[in-house]
Amino acid sequence: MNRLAAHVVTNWKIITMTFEIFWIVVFALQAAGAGGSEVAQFVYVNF
Amino acid sequence: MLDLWRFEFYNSAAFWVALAGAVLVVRAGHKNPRRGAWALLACSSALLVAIPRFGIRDLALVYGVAALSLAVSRVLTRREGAVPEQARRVLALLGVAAMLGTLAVFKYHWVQGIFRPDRRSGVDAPADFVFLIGVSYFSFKAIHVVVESYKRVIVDLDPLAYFNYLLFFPSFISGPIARYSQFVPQLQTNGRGTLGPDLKDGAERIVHGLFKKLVLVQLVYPYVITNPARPLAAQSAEGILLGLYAFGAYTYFDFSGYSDLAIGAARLLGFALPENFNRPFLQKNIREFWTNWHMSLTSWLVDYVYWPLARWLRNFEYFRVRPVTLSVACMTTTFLACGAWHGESWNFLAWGAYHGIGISAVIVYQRQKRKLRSRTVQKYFASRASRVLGSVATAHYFTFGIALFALDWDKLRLVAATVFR
Repeated sequence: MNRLAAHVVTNWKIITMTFEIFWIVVFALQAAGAGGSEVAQFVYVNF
Repeated sequence: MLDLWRFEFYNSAAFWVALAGAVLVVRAGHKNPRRGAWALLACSSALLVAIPRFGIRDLALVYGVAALSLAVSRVLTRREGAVPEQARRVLALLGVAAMLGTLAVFKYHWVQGIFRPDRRSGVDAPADFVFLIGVSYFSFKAIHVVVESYKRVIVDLDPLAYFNYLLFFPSFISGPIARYSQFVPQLQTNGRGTLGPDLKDGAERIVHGLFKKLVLVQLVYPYVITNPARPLAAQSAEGILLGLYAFGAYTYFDFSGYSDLAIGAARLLGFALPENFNRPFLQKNIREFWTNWHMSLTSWLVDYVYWPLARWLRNFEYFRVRPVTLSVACMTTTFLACGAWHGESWNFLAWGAYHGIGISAVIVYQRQKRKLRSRTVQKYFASRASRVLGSVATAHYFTFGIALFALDWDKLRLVAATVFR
């Protein structure tokens, strides 16, 4: 368990990036399939 | 043909293809900084006109505003004695007023209504409103350069560098608001010798931004209080509270995600932009929250609203002998300005006042805290528990304040009636 934890800590960046890229691809494909995002893009000020 | 060159920034495949092209073009000029700067300006101009609702006319307007502020700043940076000091002061004030006027005209319906002949007929449809994307940000950058030129902090203004600074496309729409002295030297280096790290760090940052924008935003948006699919009238008190929490998370993921994308895209081009967010929801009070939320805006407001106001108010005996009152007055005014900058409706002013009052309360609280002599209390204030409690309270203070930001008066009344029934 300690060795696993050590591996996770050492490779934390790669694990995070892989996780994020995977879900980006999933959600992007879902959005493309649905004909684009229906979520309002929040422009954080009125121009 | 022109329709092909129309895409949302960061939210379309076409943008990423265009960005890759811009990186190649700009990076190709790294051996000749001047050529690289021209390439960057050309890329910025080309990409800006691709933004929907931003065309050649809008680009020309931005160039016009940039040229005006550049002309003012160039006069202010003339050698000492070349321009009388009184004239410099008046010119600087006029320059700042012109930039604020530009901001007001393109941001506030009522200002534009003054200049519209059809106003008397009562025609004031939103579709008639002439807006200019990015005006909130490039006007603040222009004011920064005018003021720093007046103070002689900026002593040399190159037109090409200045236009690049104002029109830099990764941060044009919503920041971060870079400082001139931080941005311009990078035009000289033009990413020379840093291609590998820039591509790696830039790509990593873009991945983080896309994860926040495409994944996390999608997950929380169904629950936000402003989602049309969740009408307020149909919500219970718990549903409204969930909506507020979700909106706070949505605001953070979307805006910090955008900032990640802007910073990452700039890094691919070989430019470092200032950070905009630093774990704001882990901060122990609302004062520290605002030094870690939309940081580039907060620091601009502190430098160009808070400190000038504080220096002026110190001329008055009443404020000179009451430093806490001075601080409270300046902070509240600064955040009223922050609210007004976000939008023209009264709810933005109320939101700004809410945060100004919150920060002022922290200032008073921290001053009073120092007077307490109890060792137990002092130990508590230094403890982790105090910090955790502070973070939770701060996150809630910001989240509940979001209601003022997101909802109009009728919806606020509905929320209050439901929650406090």
